[in-house]
Parts: sequence; structure tokens; C-alpha cells
Amino acid sequence: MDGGAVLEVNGIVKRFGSLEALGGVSLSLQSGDILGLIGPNGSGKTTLINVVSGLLYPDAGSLLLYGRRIDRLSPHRRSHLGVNRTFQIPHPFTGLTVRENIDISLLFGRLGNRADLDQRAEDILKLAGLSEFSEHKAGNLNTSQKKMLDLAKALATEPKVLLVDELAAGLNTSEAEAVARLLKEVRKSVDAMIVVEHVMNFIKRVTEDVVVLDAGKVIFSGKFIDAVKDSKVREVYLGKAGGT
Amino acid sequence: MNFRHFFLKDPKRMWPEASMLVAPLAVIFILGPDIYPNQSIFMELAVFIMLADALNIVYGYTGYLPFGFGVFFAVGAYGTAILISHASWQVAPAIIAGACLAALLSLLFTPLLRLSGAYFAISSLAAFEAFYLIFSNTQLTSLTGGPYGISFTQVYNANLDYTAAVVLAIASAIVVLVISKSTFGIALQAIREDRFAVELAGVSSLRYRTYAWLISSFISGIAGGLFGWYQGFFYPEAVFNLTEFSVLVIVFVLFGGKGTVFGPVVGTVILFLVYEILSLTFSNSLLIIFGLLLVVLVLFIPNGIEPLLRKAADLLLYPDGRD
Ligand SMILES: Nc1ncnc2c1ncn2[C@@H]1O[C@H](COP(=O)(O)OP(=O)(O)OP(=O)(O)O)[C@@H](O)[C@H]1O
Ligand SMILES: [Mg+2]
Repeated sequence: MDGGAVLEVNGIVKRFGSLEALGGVSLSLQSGDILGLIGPNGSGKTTLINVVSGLLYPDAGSLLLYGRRIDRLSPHRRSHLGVNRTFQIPHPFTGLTVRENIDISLLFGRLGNRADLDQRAEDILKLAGLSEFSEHKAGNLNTSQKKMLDLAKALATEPKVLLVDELAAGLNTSEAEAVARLLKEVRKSVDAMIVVEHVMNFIKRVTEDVVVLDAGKVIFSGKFIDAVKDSKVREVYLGKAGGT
Repeated sequence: MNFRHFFLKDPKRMWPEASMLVAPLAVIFILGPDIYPNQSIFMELAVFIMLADALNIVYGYTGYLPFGFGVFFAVGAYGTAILISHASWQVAPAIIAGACLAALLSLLFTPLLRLSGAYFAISSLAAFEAFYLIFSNTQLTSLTGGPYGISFTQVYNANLDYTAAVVLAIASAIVVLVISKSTFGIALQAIREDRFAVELAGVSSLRYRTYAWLISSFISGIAGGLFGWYQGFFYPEAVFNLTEFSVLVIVFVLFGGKGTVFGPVVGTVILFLVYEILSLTFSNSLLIIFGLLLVVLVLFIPNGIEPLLRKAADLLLYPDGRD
């Protein structure tokens, strides 16, 4: 066992009825890593994020955060320990203002009850490009702003491991580019990151290290440039996605 | 709970709303009995306002609707009655102890707060029936009076009880106001909106639901104690009254607007008075009317009349539109 890992995912199995969404997935994150998690639709990427963040409990396998078992902890406990995520479909608290959305994470998150609440809130709003929408109801934001709010909420808990699920999907090229730059900025404040994306160009811009999932199994783990050459990856993923 | 930031915004900003709650209620409760000399009706109104606010805290702010939540009212009434009649307690501590008993009972439900709303709704009904059978059981006659009712007229004091009920009804409305402006209330609202996302923000939804549940059952228990005291003697059916102290309250809250500060109070004042006036003429068909009203509310104005009133007030106060 590698004692230095930030996050270790060991043989995670998750079934939905007869469907095995994750068939024994293992991976590990070291400090400073950004791991690109790619794979075709339905390959289990979101399910893995759900299991790591605690929204789903695995049927088998274990999760270690800095060597500590977290796979039976509730999501808020994991949040306090430093695991957070964004959602593929954003989850804003629509009836609350943007600022209140972030305040909740600041108040109840990992370092909750801080004296510099206002300053932190402003910094995060600025980073996410939401300063001018601070007093807007989150429900009135557009999709890309909602995605940014998701990221802002996660960052406000000051996570150590951040799981980002398709943040750039559905954004136009310049927006996606901005998100890639933003993620690099975010990397400085977290210990490690998993970035799920199926736009290959996007992943390329954020990291070199990728894990490729197919039908709930890891079929490749290594450098992005090698993944593109890998025959299995080409077959299941690039073939279907049209080789973007 | 987070006390450094218990209020996100300056609490002084609550004054206008607080006075808009207190002033009309004070007028109703002080002048009401002079205009319509039947104190017991206004006493009941105070009790219903407490129950509506209590229900609003669980249903409005956490989204859980406990159909049988009248059980806390009944336990509060019995707790008070038993402590006074058997242990000769003073009224005030007896009522507080009765309410604590109700809150303790509510803790038994907390494992269910992990489950979805439907289980919760049904299990509270089951608890209601179970406690009714216990308190009305002939075997317990020496303690609870069983089916013959319980009497503690030695402390009867209608005027004092009325005053206490009015003050506490207003206080419970203020409690809802404070909750709505506090970080606790914002957390509750977030829990209701998205129970997954809120956990990721670090909020233990179970813990905060439990707090809401405790506050709610405590207020219901207080209402029960005050009601029992006013009666001096009651049968089990008088306090274990599902139609009045659960269903009617649900209708009041839905009509006024769940999850709002003013809705449950306004809804209760209006519908309770309608209910009282109508019950003079059609006692039996009344429940059918209220049942239909419940259906109409859920289907057509699920948010109640509060948003409409708010719009009307905005138009009156700021005819040219708000900044
Ligand atoms: N809650 C659920 N109940 C039942 N099946 C589910 C559930 N969540 C996911 N699945 C199934 O598990 C498989 C993996 O889904 P998942 O959402 O993890 O894929 P993904 O890799 O994120 O895909 P996408 O690129 O479309 O987001 C799919 O077949 C999906 O239908
Ligand atoms: Mg997905």
C-alpha cells in the first residue's frame, strides 16, 4: 500500500439491480495530481464520483483518504474531511441567492464558522466570475453560470480532493477554454483533482494523466498521448466519439 | 449550530417584519374578545397559531409532513395534566415538562428522518394511534384517567391561560421569523431543496432536520399544555383529535403558505374564523368543505396565499415598483 496517496480507490463495485455500473475500479491520486477520467457515455464516470463523494455507497471495495477509510461515511463527513465535487447537471439551491449558496459551504464546510466569511465569499465569487450575480437567485442563472456556482460551492468548503464532473460539457469553445484555465487556477488550492470529461481536447488542456473507463472497468491508465494510441481505447471510446 | 454567524444579515433588519407580525396579532387578541365576547374561540385561535407555526417548521422548512403530528399536542396536554393532578406541579413547569416530553417523543422519529417523506407521514399517524390507545386505555385509568378523561381544575385560571397563550402564539411566530433569517433556516431551506448538494456543503441534513423537529414538537407540546389547562378537564378524544389538531392545521398552513413567516399565521387567522363561523350553520358538511379546500390548495395554489399577499403589499407600498 502506498502511504503517500491522497485518495485511493480500491476495487470499487457498484451495481444497480443487475447492471454492474462499476466492476472493480481502482485508481490512486497523489498530491498535486490532476487525473482525467474519461470514457464513453454510461461507462460509470459519474457513478464513480458519486461513490467517492458519498452519494452512493459501494457494494464492494474501499476508499482511503490520506490512508483513512471513508467509504461508509456520509457525504457531509467526507466534505468535512476534504472531499468535494461538482455535478454534471448542476445542483444550485435555486431559491437562495448566489451568495447564500456559497455562504452555506463557507459556514458548514470543512473550515466552517470563519471570521473572514465575507472576504472568502467575495474571493470565490470573483474566481467563479459570479461577483455581479451575488444577489441574484441561483435559479435565474444560465447553465454555464450554474456550473460555475457548483464549482464555487465546492471550493468554498476548501476541499483537498475535488471531483469535477463534465464542467465544460455543453459550453462553447471560449467558455470551455476559460474553464480549463480556471481549473488550473483551482489546482493550486486543492491537493488533488479528478476531472471527468469526454471532450478530449479539454482534458488535454488540463492534464496529461488519464484513466479510461469502459463499462465500469478501467481499460487504460497512463499518459494522455499513449491513451490516444491504445487500441482498446480507440475501439471503445475514440471510435464511438469520432476521435475528437 | 453556528453561533458566530447565527444571522447572516443584520438582525435589526427583522424589526419591520416582527412588528408586522406582532401588531395585528396583538390587536386581534386584545380587541377580539371585546367585539365577540367568546374568549375560548380566541384561545383556540392562539393554540392553532402555535400549531401552525410548529407544523410550518417541520413541513415548511424541512419538507417532511407528519400527518399525525397532533400526537405531540396530545402528549403535551397529558404531560401537563398528569404532573399537575398527580404530582401537584405548578402550571408553568408542568407545561414546559409536558412539552419536553413531546420533544423527547419526537426524538423517537429521528431515524425516520433518513427516510423519504411518505414513510414519515405514515409512521407519525401510527404513533398518533398508538399513543391514543395508550392514554385512553382503561388499565391506565389511575394515571391518565383512561377513557374517562383527566381533571386538574384546581389550577384553572382562564384569563392567565389566555394571556400566556397569546404571548406564546406571538412568540412562536417570532421563532419562525428568527429561524427564517438565521443560517439554521438557510440550511433548512437548502436541505429541502437538494438533500444531496447540501450534504456536500458540509451540512448534516439529519442533524438539522432533527433540530427542526425538536423545536416543532416542543411548540406543539406547549400548545397542548395550554389547551389542556384551559379545559381543566378533558377526554382523550379532545386532545387526540386528528381532524382538528392535525388535518385542520395542515390546511391552515397550506392555505397561508408553507415555508413562509406570515403564511401560516395569516392562513390560520382567516380559515379558523371561517371555520368557526361556518360551523355554526353546517357542522357535518364542514369537514367535507375543508377536505375539498385541501385538494384545491394542493392542486392550484401549492404555495398558498402568502406570495399573493406579498405582491399585493408591494403594489400598495411601492406603486411605482421597488428599486
Ligand atoms: N441511480 C442509478 N440507477 C440505475 N442505473 C444507474 C444509476 N446511475 C447510473 N446508472 C447506470 O449506470 C451506468 C453508468 O452511468 P454513469 O452515469 O456513471 O455514466 P457516465 O460515464 O457518467 O456517462 P455520461 O458520460 O453519460 O455522463 C449507466 O448504464 C447508467 O444508466
Ligand atoms: Mg456522467
